[in-house]
Amino acid sequence: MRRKREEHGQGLVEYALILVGIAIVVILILNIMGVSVKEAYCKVITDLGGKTCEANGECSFSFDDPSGLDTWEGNNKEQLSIEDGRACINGNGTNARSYLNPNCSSSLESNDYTITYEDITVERAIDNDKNTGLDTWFRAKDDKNGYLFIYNSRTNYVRFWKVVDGRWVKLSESKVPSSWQNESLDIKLDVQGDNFTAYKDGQEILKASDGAYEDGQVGIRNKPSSKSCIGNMTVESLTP
Amino acid sequence: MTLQDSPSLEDFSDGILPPPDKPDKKRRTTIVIVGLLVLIILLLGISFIQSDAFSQIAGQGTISGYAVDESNQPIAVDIIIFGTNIRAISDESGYFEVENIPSGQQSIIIAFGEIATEEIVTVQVGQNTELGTVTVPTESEIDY
Repeated sequence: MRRKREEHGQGLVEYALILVGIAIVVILILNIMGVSVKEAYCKVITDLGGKTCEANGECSFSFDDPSGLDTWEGNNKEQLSIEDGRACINGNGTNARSYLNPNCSSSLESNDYTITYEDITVERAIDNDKNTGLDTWFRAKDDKNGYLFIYNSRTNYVRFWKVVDGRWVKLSESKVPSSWQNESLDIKLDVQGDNFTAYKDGQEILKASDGAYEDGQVGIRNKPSSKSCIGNMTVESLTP
Repeated sequence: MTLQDSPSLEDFSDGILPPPDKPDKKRRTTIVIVGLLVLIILLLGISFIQSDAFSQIAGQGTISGYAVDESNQPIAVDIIIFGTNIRAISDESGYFEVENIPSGQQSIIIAFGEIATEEIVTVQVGQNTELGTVTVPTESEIDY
């Protein structure tokens, strides 16, 4: 007589259900804790010795020829030019000018990044009482919403601002030496989570914390009466 | 069950056999899958509570307060509820009241011209959250 064979243990379907369930639970926990799954994956790959990680994107700007400015967007682009291998913005004495780079932002797989500027010079181009200096947009939606790190060479201050609908909320500030006006500056900005840190020549100069904007574009901004030039600029994703 | 698969009388010589136990491993698997499903539902719930959609569904509240400058003089200000399209202005005495703000923690931007200050408040459903008197900078250096 034939007997029906008994089934012992799990089938493949049960194992698959358990694995899928564990994966969903892990993803949900990371989501609740505010950790990007992509960044977590990238961190693991990097730690395991992976040569490249998709989330480790980088934008590097070369200003050797005029095409180096093609990806920058903003009004009055004629004020932005290449001079001796550097990107220069000429102030008109009236309004500050912002140029954002959406291409760079989309190629970065992380919202945490380091912006490095080399060989920045700021000089007064228009003799009036308006401000001079070079600023950096980060996590910006447009030129009225986002974060700004500013260097004001007229008042000798560096500041972090949060800009909402064109209204400026000061996050932090620090006085800097007036000798900066005559220097070629190397500035680095770390944008990591809610914490922003600015460095000059590797020395920390200012910190701020805010969690309003989680993503957005990077950009540069020249104050009304200055001519500001940048030698090299790099934006490199940070893995958590 | 077909007649051929039916047990013979010899199978019942020691009495009726008890029904076979469900295998332990099978039972454990079921428990794990059900446990994971419960956990997923729980986590989805937490995730939803953290979302903006939940605060919209949960209800709305009101904020109010007075804006003054550094000299404690009333000033007319603009009010922006960050992350929403809600905008308002105060009256000449600096008094402002903004309705229909999603409940939960909100960033309130209070601006005099281009310069602003921020107040973080927790808006309660159906209630008015008093900000009191808010000093708004009017003479700060702005980096235009």
